[in-house]
Amino acid sequence: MKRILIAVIITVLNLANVSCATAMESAPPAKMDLAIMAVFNETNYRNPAVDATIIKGTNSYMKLEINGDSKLIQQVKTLFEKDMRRESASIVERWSGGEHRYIVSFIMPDGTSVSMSLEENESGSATVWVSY
Amino acid sequence: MNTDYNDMSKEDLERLADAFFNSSLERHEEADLARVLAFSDVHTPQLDSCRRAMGLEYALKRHSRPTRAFHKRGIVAAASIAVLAAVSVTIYMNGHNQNDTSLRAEVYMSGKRISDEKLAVSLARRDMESELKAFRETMEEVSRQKSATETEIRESKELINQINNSKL
Repeated sequence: MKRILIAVIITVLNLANVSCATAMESAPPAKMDLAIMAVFNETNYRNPAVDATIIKGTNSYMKLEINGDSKLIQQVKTLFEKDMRRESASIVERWSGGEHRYIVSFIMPDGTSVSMSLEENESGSATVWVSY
Repeated sequence: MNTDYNDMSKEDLERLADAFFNSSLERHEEADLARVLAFSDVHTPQLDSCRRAMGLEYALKRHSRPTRAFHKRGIVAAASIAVLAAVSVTIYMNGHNQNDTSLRAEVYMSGKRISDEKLAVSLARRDMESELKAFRETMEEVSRQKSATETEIRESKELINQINNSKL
């Protein structure tokens, strides 16, 4: 009886461990709070006016280069500006050679840092990237 | 990517390949050239050498077509590879769950995904390094400008204090 009880306890503990691990893995990371994340999706990656680069690992990097799709560029600018208004954001704005660029970095609620850049030029193309 | 690259002639591409071998291209220009060569159908010995140097063997091989018939031995080999792949994926997933040091990369050009994973990782890494380097340089420049401005303000304050003190 004692052995059965110990076996049941071990099984329950194992199940609890698996549940916790699964819950932790499925919990959305803090970066998902960023508004700009909405443009990093399969639909935009498959857009012929877009070149996309996505790296996911310990450090992640996501970039869209948009050529001529003014609607998507406007959406990116709106979302980027929304993230720029975060309290912890430090912002650098630059103009050079007909290019207008914002560089933003801030600390997320989980203590990790995020860097973002939005570059727009007069020929109607824009590049946005996020690194964290 | 800059669309100008897509309209380049064979001679233009060869000039860029020359510049690549002379190490006179910027990193982002190298990345752009690599992307163009990965997709371009223009093949010359020089451009193919450039592709090899950039690790784009995939772009050299993609025109070759397998002609061998698929027979029994092939099926056995395919089954073995499938088993090996399944074991590898399991080992990879276990390792991935324990320690997130693996790197996954996806690269799309004009909406088309680069299916060669090695090429995608190589292009994505170059792109990331180039952007982050430019980012760091900009931040360093901003920091330098900020400290220069602070020094100017401090010196101005000291000068004003000196003038005020001398009047007294």
